[in-house]
Amino acid sequence: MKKLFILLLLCFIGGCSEASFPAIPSDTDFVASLNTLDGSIDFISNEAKIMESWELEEAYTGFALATDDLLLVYGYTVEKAELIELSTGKQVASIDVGEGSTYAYVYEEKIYITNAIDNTVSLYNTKGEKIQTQATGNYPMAMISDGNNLFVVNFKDEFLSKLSMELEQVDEWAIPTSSHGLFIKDNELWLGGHGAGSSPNRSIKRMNINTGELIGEIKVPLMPINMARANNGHVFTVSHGSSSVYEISETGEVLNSIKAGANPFWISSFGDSMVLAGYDDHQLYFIQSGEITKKLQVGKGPFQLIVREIE
Amino acid sequence: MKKLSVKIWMLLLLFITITIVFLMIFTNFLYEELYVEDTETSMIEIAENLRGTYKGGAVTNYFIKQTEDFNRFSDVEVFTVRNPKELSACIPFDIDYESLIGPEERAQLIEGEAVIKRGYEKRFNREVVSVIYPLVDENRLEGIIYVYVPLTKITEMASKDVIFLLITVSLLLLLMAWISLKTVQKVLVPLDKLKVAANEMAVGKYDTRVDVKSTDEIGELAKTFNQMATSIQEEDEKKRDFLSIVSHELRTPISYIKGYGEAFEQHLVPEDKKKEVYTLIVQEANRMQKLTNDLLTLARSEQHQEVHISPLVLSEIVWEVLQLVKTLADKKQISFTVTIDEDTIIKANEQMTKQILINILENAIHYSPVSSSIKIGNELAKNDTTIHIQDEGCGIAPEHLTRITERFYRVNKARSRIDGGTGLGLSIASQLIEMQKGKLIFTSEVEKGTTVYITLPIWEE
Repeated sequence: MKKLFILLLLCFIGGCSEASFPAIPSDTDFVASLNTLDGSIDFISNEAKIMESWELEEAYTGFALATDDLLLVYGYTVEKAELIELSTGKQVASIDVGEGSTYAYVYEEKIYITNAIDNTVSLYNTKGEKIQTQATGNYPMAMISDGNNLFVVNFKDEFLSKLSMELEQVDEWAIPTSSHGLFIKDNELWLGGHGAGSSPNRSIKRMNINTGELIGEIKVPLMPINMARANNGHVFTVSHGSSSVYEISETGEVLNSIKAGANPFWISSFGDSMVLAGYDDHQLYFIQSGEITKKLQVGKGPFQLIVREIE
Repeated sequence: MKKLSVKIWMLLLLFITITIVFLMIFTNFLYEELYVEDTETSMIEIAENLRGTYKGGAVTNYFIKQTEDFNRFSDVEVFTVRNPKELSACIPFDIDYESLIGPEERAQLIEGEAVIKRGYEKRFNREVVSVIYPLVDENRLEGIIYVYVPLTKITEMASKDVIFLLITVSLLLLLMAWISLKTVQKVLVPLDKLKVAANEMAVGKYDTRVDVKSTDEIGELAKTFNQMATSIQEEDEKKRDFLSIVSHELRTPISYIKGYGEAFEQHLVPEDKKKEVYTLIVQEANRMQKLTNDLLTLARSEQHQEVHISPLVLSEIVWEVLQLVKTLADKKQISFTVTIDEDTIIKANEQMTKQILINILENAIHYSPVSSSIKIGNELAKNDTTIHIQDEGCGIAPEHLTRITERFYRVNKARSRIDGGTGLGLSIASQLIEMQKGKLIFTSEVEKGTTVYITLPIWEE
């Protein structure tokens, strides 16, 4: 009893460094929104209800699923990225990434994190151990991989870095500055963005994934910056400048568009719905067959979504 | 040394200047504020009118053209922005682009609130007053109406009026300076007069008076000064009179003695008259001696020396004095009726008290007719006793009564020489009574007689 008391006291004095969050059962599907303005994560069930909310103590600006039960959170001003076990809500590992983290991408339990102060991309395992680091262009951010290569968009530079999965330099492709939003469709790499300088970007660029050759453009004004594949194989893109969602066919034709959300930055496929995060109006929009089926109020500034669907 | 008037004036001027300058700055500030506010109000009106034509949805080219058209005819700058980049739509991303509005303003605008601000605007590279109205559709910030006026334009407009204000204020300042100078002078002129008068007094011009009619403190001071001058003048006159009287009183016996002396020298005095002349010389010498003694007594009593007080049996003192004046009284067959209480013990100086009584009694004898009577008695009060000496003499007229204790004051100036008195007796008596904390009162009726009341403290065990 006395020992327990001392333990508790020590815990109080030291301030429990091990943050603990409400657990998320490992058998549930969810879409989670990272709300950057009030620093919270909302976990939403497939009935479009908030199951759990996490209040974050650090100014995290992004998150990713490292495994189905392992959530990675990071922030531009936060020196450490944390790996949190969802089923227990406990932090299991901490990665010393330093300030400047802009994006994290996970491919088959390989964690890639970009740093826009050092202008590097680093590879970590799920234990949080650094395996490799590679220099990039100015302000690396958006990443995607087809299994053979890792494509890194340099946000404030005029080229994209094509790296091997072990982060060896492979190629550089010219792209406009302020590019963001990557998607792989068969042999094509699709790239969105805000647009260089004062003029807003209006289209998605289609590039040959092997050569970087520009194949064509899909007009989806304004500022398409995120894409997601729906169950039916169509691609949905969100253009935050016009608060529009476009449905694009497998051949790259715009099928229809819908106005949804206020300044949305992210779209994800979740079950039969596409889920859209409205950054300015703090709402998630569930869209089915080109219609908004549900709106859900979440924390302030939903910036990013992740989806877990247990098969 | 600066003059007081200059000092006060400078101080006043400083206060006035500070007040006016402060007021001017404040007015200017308010004026500009009002001007800017007025401009803001009209800008808000413009923005509101323009927004009234927004029908929701994306901001159309037509709407933008409409603003441009309006801008051409307006004296303020108006434009509509729908570029999300300008509207800070990419906030979470670190975009290499300086947007027209900041994140806080964007948040405010999304809420449907207008943004009104003043200050340096990087986009226009100048100080501006701007009014930003949001074009919001549902929760979406579709665009903004941006109205602005360079601040310099406003202050330029205001500065035209500021010149007028400056001139007015300068004139006002001059006027105030003049008025305050005059006021200070007016207030301080009496002080200057007082100074001049005091200087004149200092060199002995005691008839100097200040002519100040104000009723303030300075007026009071002038009045007091005049009173003081009157007192000094009176004292001075008394002194002169005293000296002239003394010299006159001394000159008369001296001239007698001199005359008789010369007569002896030139053998002009016949043998049978010599005895008579010797008697006259001795008489005049006695008079001079008495006069100088009296003057000495008076001078001593005026020096306020410490008085030796002791218990004295009043009746004894009175009897002793009566023995002293008996020869004088007998010459005129004057009798005394004494009703002095035997037990009265006074608290006084023996020599002084005797001198008082002698002087009073000699006076009474002098002015009493032959074969008359002088009554001497006393009355006891709680702390003192009043001795009264009543004669049946010629009496003193009321106009003289108050002045008879003055030195050399004589009711009948012609008779003085014959009376043989020095004119100092009552003056000495009064002085000595005062020194012993007593009182001297005269009551008199012409042709009936005079009563003198001498009040002296009694000895209390």
